[in-house]
Amino acid sequence: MAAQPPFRAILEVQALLQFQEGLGLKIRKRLCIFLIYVLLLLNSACLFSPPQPAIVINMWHNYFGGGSMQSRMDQLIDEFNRSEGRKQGIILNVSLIGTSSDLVKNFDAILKNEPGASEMPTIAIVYPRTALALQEQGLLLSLDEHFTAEELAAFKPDFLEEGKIANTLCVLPANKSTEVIFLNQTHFDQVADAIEAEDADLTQIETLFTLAKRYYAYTDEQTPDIPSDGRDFLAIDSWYNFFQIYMSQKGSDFLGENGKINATDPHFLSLWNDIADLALIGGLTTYNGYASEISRTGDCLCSIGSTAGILYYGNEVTFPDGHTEEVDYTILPFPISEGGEAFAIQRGGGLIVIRSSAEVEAAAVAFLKWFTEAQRNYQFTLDSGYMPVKNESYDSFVKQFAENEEKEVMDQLQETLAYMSANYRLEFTPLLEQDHDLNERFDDVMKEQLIEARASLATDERNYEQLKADLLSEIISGLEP
Amino acid sequence: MKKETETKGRFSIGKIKLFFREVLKQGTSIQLRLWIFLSLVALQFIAFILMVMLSVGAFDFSESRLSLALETQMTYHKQHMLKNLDYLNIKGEKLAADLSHSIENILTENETPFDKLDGDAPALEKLLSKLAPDLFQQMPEGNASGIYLMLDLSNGAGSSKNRAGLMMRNLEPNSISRSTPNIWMKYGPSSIAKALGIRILPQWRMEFGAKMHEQLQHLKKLSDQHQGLSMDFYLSPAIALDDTEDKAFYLNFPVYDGQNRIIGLCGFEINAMLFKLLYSTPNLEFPSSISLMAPGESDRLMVCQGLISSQTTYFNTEQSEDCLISSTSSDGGLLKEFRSANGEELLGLSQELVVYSHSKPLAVGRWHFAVLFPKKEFQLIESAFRLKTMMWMLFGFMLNFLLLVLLSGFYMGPIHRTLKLILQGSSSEEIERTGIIEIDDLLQFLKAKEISEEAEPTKFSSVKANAVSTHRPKMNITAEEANAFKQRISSLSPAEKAVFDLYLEGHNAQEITELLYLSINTIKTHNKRIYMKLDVHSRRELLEYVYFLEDQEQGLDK
Repeated sequence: MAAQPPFRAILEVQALLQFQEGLGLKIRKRLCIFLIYVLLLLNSACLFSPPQPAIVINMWHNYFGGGSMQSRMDQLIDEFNRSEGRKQGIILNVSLIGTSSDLVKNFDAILKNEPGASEMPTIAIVYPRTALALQEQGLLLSLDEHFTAEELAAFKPDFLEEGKIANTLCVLPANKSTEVIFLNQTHFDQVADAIEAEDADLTQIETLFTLAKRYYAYTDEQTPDIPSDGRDFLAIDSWYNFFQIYMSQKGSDFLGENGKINATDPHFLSLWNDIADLALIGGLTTYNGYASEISRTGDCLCSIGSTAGILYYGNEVTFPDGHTEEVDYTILPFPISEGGEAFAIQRGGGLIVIRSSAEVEAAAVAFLKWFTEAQRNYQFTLDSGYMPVKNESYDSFVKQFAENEEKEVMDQLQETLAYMSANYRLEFTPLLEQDHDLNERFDDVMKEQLIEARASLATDERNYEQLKADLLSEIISGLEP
Repeated sequence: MKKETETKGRFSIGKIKLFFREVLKQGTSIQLRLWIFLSLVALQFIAFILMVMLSVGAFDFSESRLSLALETQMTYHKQHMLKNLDYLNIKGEKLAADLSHSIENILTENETPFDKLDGDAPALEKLLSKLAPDLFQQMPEGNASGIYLMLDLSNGAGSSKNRAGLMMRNLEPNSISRSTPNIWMKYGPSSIAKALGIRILPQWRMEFGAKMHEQLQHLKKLSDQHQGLSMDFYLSPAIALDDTEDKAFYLNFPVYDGQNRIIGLCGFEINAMLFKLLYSTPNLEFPSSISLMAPGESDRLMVCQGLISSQTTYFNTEQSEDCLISSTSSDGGLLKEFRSANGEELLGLSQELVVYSHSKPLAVGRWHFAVLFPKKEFQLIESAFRLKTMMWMLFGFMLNFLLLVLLSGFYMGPIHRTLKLILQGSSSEEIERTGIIEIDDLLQFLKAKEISEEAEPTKFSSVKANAVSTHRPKMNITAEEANAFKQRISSLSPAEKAVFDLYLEGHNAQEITELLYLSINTIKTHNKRIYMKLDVHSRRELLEYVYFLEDQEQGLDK
């Protein structure tokens, strides 16, 4: 039996398909275009909708300041993480807080691949010489490329200049300090008459030295039975800086073109004589730590150091027998040598960014910009004993303290800084490309030699002047790299 | 053997290969295509249901991931903390024993009773200077931020609660194996710091203050409560000594004299900085996670007495109102819910930290380790994740829909084209195979019918003729072609001509066999030769020529 062909059914289907051909195919084409459009739209939505994982950047800083500066810095970091950081998906994590020399040691350990060395941070606060050592390895991010000309113009030009290595901005100024006198006013007042001290004596280097000698002699006289037990009056945090400033005030260069100390310069020799006398006979401490430490134990009355040291002085002195006395400190401008120019050096750490992935670098730069915003920079520097680094904040800083009547120690410090900013020539220390750590060795070698010489002074058979000359030549030879 | 195993399995590779080979050979059926189509429709439906469920928060992928991340963090940090405490416990017991022994020896040597040193600053300094080098040497690397010894004596110059002693702090406790650890003096005579060649901290004090004195009193009280006390330690809640803001845990070990009387304490400090460095895990997915160690009960963690490791600050532990976190009901979720006193909501896990072994007499207080995550931030992450998943599902949904549209077109297309050709009257031989089993069967059926029609003209040809006449195709046969056809008729042999004529008379193949007494095969052979000689390819074409010639003869041709 032959099967019947399904012509009727075929015709029906054919009619249906013809209808689809007429209308359905157009609809289908439009539908396809619409769907492709929706898919593309959804796909692009998927690309931007999910939040990216946060970028964690580690930071090392030296805002320690006896806890208070660290606390202020911690608050700022929290503020960044909560605001700008959250917005941009950045988490700033502090992985090391120490003194600037601690940071240098840690960087050294990394550069030398020492076992147990820390992990390289992304951001750090360093002094230019550390930056130079890092940049020799090509580790630093060139900040010029990440800041617009307008953004850079907001910084004080000389502060920016200090952060340049081979004409590339590697260190962004965060805050600057200079050196001032910290005077234990309470104890100074107790002996001022006895040592015939006048306020003006503290403004000149030579008279300051004279006061130091008189104070030592006076305190030595208090115990006639014990010879040479006088107390030191003066402490200088950085002898290297002190020599440099003194010679600049006198119009001489501390360093020659070869990067070596001009030890034959008459001004150098003059200062060396005074320093050696005070260190050997008494009046100047040779303690190789920060002056703030011995100020707090009553081992000196007057010290010269960085403005940033203010937070380390406290307001009491603890004597060896355990009793403590509350004291007031007075902050005075750096003394000027007789007939010399009002000159002082400015210093202070800057922010560096270690080269990394583009994302991490961008995150680090975002923090740098946030941290150095004029108002934030101004407030932070006021709280920590530094000078602001932006033109706007710097100008308001100088104006605000020009006629300040309050005498709180922080206000005094700011007043002194404002005075020095207006009346001193402030310059940064040039980088020593040939000998990065000359400044540290200068202090170490000189103090070490003087401590030894002082201990054996009574038994040394050499002529005193000969002894000093020999000491100097030993010091100079000890400074050879 | 291997092949056999492959084919034996229910879903063996051999079977799958065979299936695809068959599909390629025979084509796919409408049934299979429909099955695939329906599967996609079902998938579409499931995707839609999932999307709806996702949008109403029926799934907790984010919570699972957070839970896993926090559990990992908890396990790692808790183990680390316990190991650290064990290490410090062992080291501290030895330190306390050594110091007790040394003090006893020095006092015996100087024939000075311990109590006589009270108020004698030079004698105390002398005693401490002898103990300092040993203490300095015992500074643990990486486990503690400081080491201390406090005697129950004072130089008498300060407050009655001041106590003489030594504390040295490592400013970089996490830098293990540093050749020169960064150690500073926090408490003690500055002359000892100079002698040891270490510097004094900005917060340096000659003597310990009231907070540490309280610790000693507490230790003595515990000792009185537990007679016959052996060496043990007491972990103090986090406190900030004196006027500093740096909070720390203190692991206090009692120091004894010869009469088994507590004359001081020694131990190790774990400060907030070290805790943060040790217990902070930069979790890239959940960066705001918080590690917390605090005393309290499982539902009440005394945050103000604990230490926190977090990238961001969520508690102000200095404020009393932010000291307490109470756990609320977990609501069956993977994570517990916590609420701080200042209203901050957190999700996380907390586990008891067994600080003291149960046999220890000073085992007082319960400690907990917790890992937490801010709820608000979690909700943000969860909604972002849900949005992302929704977007991808919607993307898949749309893609599936597009696939359905395309698939329907792909498998309807060949059916449409084939049916169109059939209706246009194309021969089944002219229509290409579609690869669709049912359509190909139809073509084969038509082909068979065409052949059958040749063999049964009355039945089939009449219908066919009707069909052809109904849908008489307009063939472009020219007069020249018709004449050439006419001439080719003369090339037929007499037998072929006889068959041809009978066809023209309307007989079918079966009738011709009867009329000419020939078999059907002979007729088929004649057919083939007739087609060949007349240069036609089908009976249909042949009929077209015939109709054309008839029309021409009847004068109907245009």
